[in-house]
Amino acid sequence: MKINYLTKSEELGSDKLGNLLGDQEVYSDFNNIGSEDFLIVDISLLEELKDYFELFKKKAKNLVFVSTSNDYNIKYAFNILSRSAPPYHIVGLNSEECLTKVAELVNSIFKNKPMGLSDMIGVYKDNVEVKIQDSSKISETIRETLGQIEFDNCFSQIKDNLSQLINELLYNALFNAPTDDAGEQQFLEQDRKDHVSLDAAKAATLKIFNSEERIFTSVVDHYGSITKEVIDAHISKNEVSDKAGGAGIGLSLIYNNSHELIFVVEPGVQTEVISVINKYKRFKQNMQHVRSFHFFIKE
Amino acid sequence: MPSVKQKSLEIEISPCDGGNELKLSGEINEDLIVDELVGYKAGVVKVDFENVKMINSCGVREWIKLMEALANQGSKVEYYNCPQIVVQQVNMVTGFVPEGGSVVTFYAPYFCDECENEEKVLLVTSELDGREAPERKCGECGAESEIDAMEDVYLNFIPE
Repeated sequence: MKINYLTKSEELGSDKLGNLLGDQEVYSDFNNIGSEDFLIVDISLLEELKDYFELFKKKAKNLVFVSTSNDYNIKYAFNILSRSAPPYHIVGLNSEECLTKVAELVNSIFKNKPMGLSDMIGVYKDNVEVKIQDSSKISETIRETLGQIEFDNCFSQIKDNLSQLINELLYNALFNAPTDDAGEQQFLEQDRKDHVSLDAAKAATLKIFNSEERIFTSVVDHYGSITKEVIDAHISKNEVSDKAGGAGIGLSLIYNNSHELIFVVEPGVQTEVISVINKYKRFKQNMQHVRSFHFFIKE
Repeated sequence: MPSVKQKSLEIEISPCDGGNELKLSGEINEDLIVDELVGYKAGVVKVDFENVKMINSCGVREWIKLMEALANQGSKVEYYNCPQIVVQQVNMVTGFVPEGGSVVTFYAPYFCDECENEEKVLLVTSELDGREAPERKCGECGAESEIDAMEDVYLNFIPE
């Protein structure tokens, strides 16, 4: 497995990434990419390299977009990624930290370590797990769940942000994920004022792990129906939809409230959405922290 | 003073100079019923967000419908005491502040490096120098305290 990194940045170039990876060789050659290789592309080169993207997508199994500047063209990156095969990754926003995040990602894939929640957590202070099948219970569940957790060493706004994040994750799991036998979404266009209730076996699971440094939130639905096209259409949306059903900006709120957002989809079986928030005393540090997005398909 | 009690939100309505003031308490979500809040005499509508605890994406959509309805009846909307969760929507969602509307006062987080005290400070938009938040004295130790946010992002709703 070879690592190829294309960037114009000298400060955050291939030498720096090689150092972070423990003195591994990092190449800047996109003509000889093997199917198992990593291809890491600086978003600032997207326009310049657009003619090569069809080739990249076919050749590189692990395609990562990284932004080495704070000018983070996420919409464009998602648009390109949505047309490529998963897994796909976007890392950016904070130039000083983004290569560290890329190195972590490369290492985790080298070690064949999946990115699901059960593989990410160790021993944590709080461990909350709750099943939810009735959408009328969402607000109450969130209040009760967050009431059990102490968010010390963290800016006070964190509870409001988490409350919003979990609300959107659970609405997606109960209204957007369920499909019928024909694979059609059952409640996509249902008015959110009319609540839904799923069979107990199909109830969504909410888990929160609160460590000294990070808060992990995971919501699992038992349908595995979300697609990268849906994510691409909604993740950076800032206009509400007037169509029946959801408002269309929930995913964007989830992304904006997370430092790391991971989708692990087992088509027709389940989707796990994991949001990771690094804990800071200062809200400003929360805003400045590197953001990343990862999408995996489990066959 | 009329009060409208909805499932997740209570709205106290009282007359004010040139219009009405709406004081909100609770959550803005899909249960917001827009029709119960329109039809008052056109004029200024002052919305007080002080006690809004949560807002979700469906609530944002219903809110925008309410703002459009108020704009259509000729009202001018002013936002007061916007907590961080509302400022986030103001900055992110097109139409959250209706055409001609404005954010008059809002809360910003402040942090003191000296004693690590965090405060929510009410700022008056018209008193700011563009997107620059003023420094202030920490309420606990009196040292200099500064806005705890990326100003260009948090104050993005203020025209440059």
